[in-house]
Amino acid sequence: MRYCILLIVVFIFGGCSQNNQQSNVVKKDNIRRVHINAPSISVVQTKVKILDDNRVVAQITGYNNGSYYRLLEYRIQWFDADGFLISNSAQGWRDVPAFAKAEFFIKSPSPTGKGVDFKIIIRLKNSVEKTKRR
Amino acid sequence: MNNKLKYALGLTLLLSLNACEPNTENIDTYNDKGKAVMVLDYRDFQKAAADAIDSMLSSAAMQKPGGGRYVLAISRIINDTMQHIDTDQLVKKIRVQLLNSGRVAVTTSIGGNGREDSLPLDTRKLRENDEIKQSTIATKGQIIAPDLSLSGKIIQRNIKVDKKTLQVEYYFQLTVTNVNNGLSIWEGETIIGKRGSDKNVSW
Repeated sequence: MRYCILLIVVFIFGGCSQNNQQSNVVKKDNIRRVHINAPSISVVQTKVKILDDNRVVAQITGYNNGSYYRLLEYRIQWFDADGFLISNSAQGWRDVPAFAKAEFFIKSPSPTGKGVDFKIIIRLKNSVEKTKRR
Repeated sequence: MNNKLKYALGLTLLLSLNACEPNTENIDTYNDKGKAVMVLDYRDFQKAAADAIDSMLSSAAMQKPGGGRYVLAISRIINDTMQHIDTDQLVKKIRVQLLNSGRVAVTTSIGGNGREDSLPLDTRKLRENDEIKQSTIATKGQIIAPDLSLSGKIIQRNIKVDKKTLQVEYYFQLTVTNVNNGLSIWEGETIIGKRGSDKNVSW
């Protein structure tokens, strides 16, 4: 019985101990900046990593709930601390494969060291866009 | 058939042929849903450059220890395809992004294919020229030698899939070398594949 209590106490305190390893990975719960325009596609997690030179790298984990492989494309825009768009000449739609019932990952670094926030749009690669007739 | 009818038929034929010609329109380069072509087009260069930039900026290799910028020189980018390509279509995009990133400064005074801009060195030839205010001419030992060099190759492979179908593979291979020790610090490859009618010429 004593051993059992001791073991429980050790586990409880062990659980309270802090991880000494410094992590520069920040989990962002706010995923309102992810816009998805593809059926059966959802975003599971958004992570932001800060490199040594303060450059931010974002990683978005998505999930394809559908039963078919889908080729998606995404476009990411980065903003500075004041909310201003950072111009990016290489900005464009990028492909990302989403296999059926599987996770997919999008990783994008900020184009400059000033990027702190981002907005991403995900859509089907070959979707036909509806245009409103006036 | 009288003449009037002949003219009317001719006019109708001319109008109908004209109607078959596609209209000229500007490409929306931000959202181009145009059909793929067998040769390399701007979308392919954009993709290859964006892949390389993402990889370079995500990597710590291009990050100068202690801060500051690396000086990058553009070495040879070999076009080993059957097409006439100006490799600057690829390199320029990468350079612009690297420059904007704040990690790298690109030298135009030293390069694998000669100097891109000869003026910085040419102005030094004016040192003996009395017509030039000598204090405005750059002093000796100011041009900075590169820390890194960007080299690469674009390769094309044509594969006959069947009687009517051709597969064309393009490989964009890039390397960043530390000039000081000759070691490669970053490498990247993007493959772009196209499959289509073998009547579409890919050169």
